[in-house]
Amino acid sequence: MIIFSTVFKILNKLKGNLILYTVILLAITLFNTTSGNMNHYEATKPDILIVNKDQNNEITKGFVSYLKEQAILKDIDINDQEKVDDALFYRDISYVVYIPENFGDDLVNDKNPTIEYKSNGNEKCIFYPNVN
Amino acid sequence: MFIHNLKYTVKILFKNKVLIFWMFAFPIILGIFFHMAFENIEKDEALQVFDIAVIDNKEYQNQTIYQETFKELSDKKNKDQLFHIHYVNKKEAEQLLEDNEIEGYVLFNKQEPQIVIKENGMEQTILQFVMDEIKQNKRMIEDLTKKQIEDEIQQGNYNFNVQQIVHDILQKLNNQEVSLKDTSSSHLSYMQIEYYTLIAMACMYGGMLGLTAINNQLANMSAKGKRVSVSPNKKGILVLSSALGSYLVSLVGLAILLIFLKFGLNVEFGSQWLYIIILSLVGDLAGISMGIFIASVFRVSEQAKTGINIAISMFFSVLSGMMGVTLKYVIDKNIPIVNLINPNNLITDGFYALYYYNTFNRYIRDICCLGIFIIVCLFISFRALRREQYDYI
Repeated sequence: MIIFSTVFKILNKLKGNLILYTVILLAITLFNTTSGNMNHYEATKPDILIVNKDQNNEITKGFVSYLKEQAILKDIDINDQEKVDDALFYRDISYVVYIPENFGDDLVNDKNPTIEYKSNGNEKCIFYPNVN
Repeated sequence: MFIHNLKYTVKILFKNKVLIFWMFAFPIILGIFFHMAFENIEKDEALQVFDIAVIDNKEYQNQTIYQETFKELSDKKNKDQLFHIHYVNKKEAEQLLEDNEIEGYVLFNKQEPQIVIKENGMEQTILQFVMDEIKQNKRMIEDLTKKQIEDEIQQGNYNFNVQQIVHDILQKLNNQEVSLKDTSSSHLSYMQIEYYTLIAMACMYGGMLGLTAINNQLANMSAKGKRVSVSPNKKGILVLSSALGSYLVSLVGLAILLIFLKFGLNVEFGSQWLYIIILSLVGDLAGISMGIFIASVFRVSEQAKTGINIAISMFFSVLSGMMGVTLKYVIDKNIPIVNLINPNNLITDGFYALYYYNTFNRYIRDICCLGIFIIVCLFISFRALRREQYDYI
């Protein structure tokens, strides 16, 4: 009987810990079950950078705003090439799009402008520019 | 005397089994574990052909464009194969989706395709993209064809070939495509950084050899040190030859590690072997200098000095990205000064610069910072060791 009652005394002493762990367990369980439910489609967007050398053209502006819709633009200094390359390597961004000068005009005049891009080798994200 | 002490320092260090284990075997064992754990981590980035289902109903049978596109995209011979398609009825598709066999299914209802998915993700987004693209192109072709036919009729020409018109339009659309040029570097494997941090760690562990060699010269550290101190030899020669001896021993360990990483684990270093060797020599010297610095500046027991050395080098290792390369990037990006005074990071970064960059600016900057680190450490150590006198030991 002594041991029996002592167990409860010990439990009473440790009630703070007991409650804490129970709450954590419940919270995590709750979190997992709620996040599992999905009721709307949401596109998974890659992080990208755009280096635009054709600022004042309506077509290019349209293209850039289209890209902005499809991806998340990261805030990295595009004038510092080393920072951009580092961001690519460490998967901070998935790809960099280089829009050449006169891109919009060339597109209208059938000159087939070339867009250069650098990617980090994550094929799932590379798929985006290719589709676009 | 210089050669004599050098020879015996090397001999004594090689006979110290514990040190040799930490210096020679530990980095290799860690490398093997890294290899086992991280070998497949980057394969996840490859776009794999994934399973989808298409509901094979009457509406779908009328959608020639969709049928053709799906056929093309699921063709096993096509190198751009994207999907593996199950043609099933709605009930089966729902079952497949429930069992996670497919990422989603496409249902044609009154012309408009619907996509049904269970959870959001990259595959689902790609599926949505493909469907949008087909829809857009389909509409574009239809509109252009319609316009072309109307033009022909207006001009009084009723004798046209619809097939030819569609073909011409497709040709025109394909020609108008913006060309994309991939200028990515081919060296993009970020897991290599883990192995570079390992080399950096091995360099810093070399510090323990330097530490032991210097302790053997200090009268307050060992009986050997007492005897050496009362001998009529010049202190400078003894210290320098001990330091050089420990440097040579640690270089042997580092060479074994590099050879093992290159040929055993196929770690990529780029092709600039001369620069890699220079970086290893300088990096190892930085480790030895730190060991000498700790041995001469801290006046604590030998175990405590070893502990300090390991603690500092592990802390530097973590900052340089050993426990996740992201940490190195975050520090590089936000507080670069920390990584410029961290020898582990400078060594790691030097290897990274040789691997990833085509220019040498960053490599040279790293080597220079390491040089400064070495000079500062050695300068302080020699100041501390000079004219050391003991009233009582």
